[in-house]
Amino acid sequence: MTKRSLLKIVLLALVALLLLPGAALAQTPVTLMHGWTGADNTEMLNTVFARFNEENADGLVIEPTALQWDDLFTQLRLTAAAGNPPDVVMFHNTEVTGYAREGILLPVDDLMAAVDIDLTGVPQNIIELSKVDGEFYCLPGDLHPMNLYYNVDLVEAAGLDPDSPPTTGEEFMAWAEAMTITDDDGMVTQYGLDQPLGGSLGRWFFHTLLYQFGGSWLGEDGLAAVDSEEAHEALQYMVDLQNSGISSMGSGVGDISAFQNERAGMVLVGPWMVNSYIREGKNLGTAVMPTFGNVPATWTNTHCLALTRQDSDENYLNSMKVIKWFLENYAEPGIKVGIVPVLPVALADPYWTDHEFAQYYAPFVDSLSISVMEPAIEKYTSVFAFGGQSPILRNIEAAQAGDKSVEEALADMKAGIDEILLDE
Amino acid sequence: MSRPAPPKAKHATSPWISIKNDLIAYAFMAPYLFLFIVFLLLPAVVGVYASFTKWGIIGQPKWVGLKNYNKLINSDLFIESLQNTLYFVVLAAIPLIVLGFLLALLVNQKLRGRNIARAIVFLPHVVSVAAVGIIFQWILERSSGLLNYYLGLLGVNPPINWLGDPDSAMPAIAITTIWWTVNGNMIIYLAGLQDIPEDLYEAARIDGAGRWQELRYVTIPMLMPVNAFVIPLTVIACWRVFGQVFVMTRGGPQGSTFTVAQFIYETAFVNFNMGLASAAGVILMLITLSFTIIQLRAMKVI
Repeated sequence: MTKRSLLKIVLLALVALLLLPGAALAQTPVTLMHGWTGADNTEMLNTVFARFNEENADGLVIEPTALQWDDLFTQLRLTAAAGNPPDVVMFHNTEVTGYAREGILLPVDDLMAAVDIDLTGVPQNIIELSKVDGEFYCLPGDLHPMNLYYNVDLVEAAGLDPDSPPTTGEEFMAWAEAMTITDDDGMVTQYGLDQPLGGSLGRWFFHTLLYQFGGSWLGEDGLAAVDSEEAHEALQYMVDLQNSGISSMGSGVGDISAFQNERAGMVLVGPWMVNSYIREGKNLGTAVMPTFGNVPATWTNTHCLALTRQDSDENYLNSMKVIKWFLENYAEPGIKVGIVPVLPVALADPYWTDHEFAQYYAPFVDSLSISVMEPAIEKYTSVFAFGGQSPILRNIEAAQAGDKSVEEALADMKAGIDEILLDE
Repeated sequence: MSRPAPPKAKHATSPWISIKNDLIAYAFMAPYLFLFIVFLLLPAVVGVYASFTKWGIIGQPKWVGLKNYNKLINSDLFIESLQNTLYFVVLAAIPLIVLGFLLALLVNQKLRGRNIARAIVFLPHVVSVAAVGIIFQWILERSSGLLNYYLGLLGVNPPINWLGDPDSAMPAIAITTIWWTVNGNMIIYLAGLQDIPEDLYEAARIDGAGRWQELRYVTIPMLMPVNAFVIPLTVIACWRVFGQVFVMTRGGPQGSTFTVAQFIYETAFVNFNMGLASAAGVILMLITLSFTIIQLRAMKVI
C-alpha cells in the first residue's frame, strides 16, 4: 500500500467518522407554538417536551415557542403571512373557526386516521367544536371548567360542613352570608365570595348563569341573543349577588386576591388555580358549580392542538405523531397546569388518578358533562375579548356598578356584539 | 485693561477638507440613521399608507381611501378613547412636570444624604411597567389592598374600589404613572439646574434677591431650554399611555381607562384591522404633533 493510498483511506475514515454519527442523530424538528405562559407552565411544558424528545425513536424533536395568548394570535397570523408558521399550534377550540376560515389551519381527518388517533369517550360537544364545516381542524386536549373553590378553614369557622358544599343558589347564599364578617364599625373584614366586577371572571360567570337560566349568546339569525328574558334573569342574578354585600367586588382584571389572602371564603374560577392555592398552603375544597338557575351549566373552554398549512406536506405526519403523543400523555400537564384531560387514556393514566391533587380536580372532571363553551364563531376573539373594547365586559360592569339598568346593559351589549358581527 | 485678542481659528478653507469633515460626521450618524430609517421612518410611512387600506395582516392591503378615517370620526369608542387619554394627560402631565421640577430643586440642595435621596427617588424608574402595574394593583386592591388598609385605620369605610370604580380608576393610574416616571423629569431638571452658572445667583444676591426671587428670575428662566425638552416629551408620553393601563385595568371598568394606544392595540392585534389601527395611529401622531408645536410656540422656542 502506497503512502497515497493509506492517506486516502485515513481521510475516508475521518469523513465517515464525521458523517455517521450525524446520520445516526439526524433529527426532524416539529415546531410548536403555545400560550401556556402563566406561573411556571412554560418550564413544566418544556419538561414534557423533553420527555418526548428522549422517548421518541423516530428522531422527532419538539421545538416549542411560548407566547402570551394575544401575542400568539398575532404571531400565528404574521408567521402564516410570511409562509413559515409553526407546524403545530396549541390554543382554544373557540379560536379554531376563524383561523380555519382564513386558511391558516389544515383539515386533519386523513392524518388522524393515519396515526390512529382515537377520540372515543371525548364529550360529543367538544368533538363538534373541533370541526369546521364537518372537518376536524384541531384535536381537543383538555377542558378547564369554572367551578367552586372554598377555604375549608373559613367554612369550618363559620360553622358550616366542608364535606357538603352548596349545590344550589340558596345553599350558596347561605354559605356566603355565614362567611361574611363585619366588624363593630360596620366594615367588612371577610367576604363570603370573591367575585370581581366584570372582567373575564365576570364574563365567564355571566355565561354560566346565561346557560343555567336557559339562554344563549347567539340567536338563530347569528346575531346576539342577550336581550332575552333568560339573559335578563342571568344578569339580574349577578347584580343582586353583587348588591347583597357578600361579594368582594375587586377590580375586573381577574382580581381574586381576597380569596388568595384568606379574606373571602369562596371563589368561582377554573382548575388552573389548584396548584397555586395548594402551594400557598390553603386548606382547600372544590365543588361543582352550584345551580343558581334552572339547569346545571358552567363555563368552560378547551385547549386543542392544530396543524398549520405549510408549503410542503412532508412534516404533516410527524406533526400529527407529536399531537397524538401529547394527547395521550396529557396527565402530567393536566395536573401541573390545572386542566382536565378529555381523552379517556389520559384520564386513566396513574399520574392523573393517583396524584395527590386528584381530589381537588375530581369536581372539575364531574362537571365536564355540564360544561358549556362560548360559541366558536369566526369573530370569537373580537366578540369575547378581554380588553376595553368588549361590549360584554363594559355592560356587565355597568350593570354591576349600578350605572346602567339590566335592560339598558343588555340592550347595549347586544348592539355592541351585533356591530362587531356585522362589521365587514 | 484691554483683553488679548483671541487666537485666529484655523478654518478649513479647502472644500475637500470640508467634505471630508461632513463625511466623517455622516459616518458617525450612519448606524443610528440606518436604524432610524429601517425601524422608525419606514414603518411610519408604511403605517400612513396602511391607514388608507383594509388589511388584516394576511393577504394584500386593499385601498379604501378615507374610509378608515371616516369610520374613526364616527366611532363612539374612538372618541371615548381620545377623551379618556386627554383626561389622563391633564391628570398626569402637569404633576409630572411640576413635581419633577420640585424634586430636582429638593435633591439639588446641599444637604446630607442627598445622593441617597436621589437614588431612592430614581429607583422606581428602573422597574418594568408590568411590575409597577402588578404592585399598584395590589396596593389599590379593594378588599385587601395596602392603601385601603391604612385608609381603613383612618376610618375610611366602605373601602374605595380604586380600580373597579370608573371615577377613580383613571386617577389611580395617573398616580401610579407619576410615582413611576416623575424621576425621569427630575433627573433632566437636575442636570439643567446644575448647568446654571453660580455667578448668576451671586449677581442676583448682590442685587438683593431672596430665595424666591432667585427662583423666579434666575432658575426658571434659565431652565427654559430644559422645559422645551421636558414638557413636550412628557405630554407626548402621556398621550401614548398603554402599559400600565393594560396591566392594571385593561381599559376598564366600563371603558373608563380605555386609551387611544389601547384602541390601536386592540384594533390591530385583537381584531386584526390594521388599516383602522393605522389611521388611529396617524391621528394620534397628528394630535401629539399639534400639542408639541403649540407648546413650543408658547415658549417661543419656534
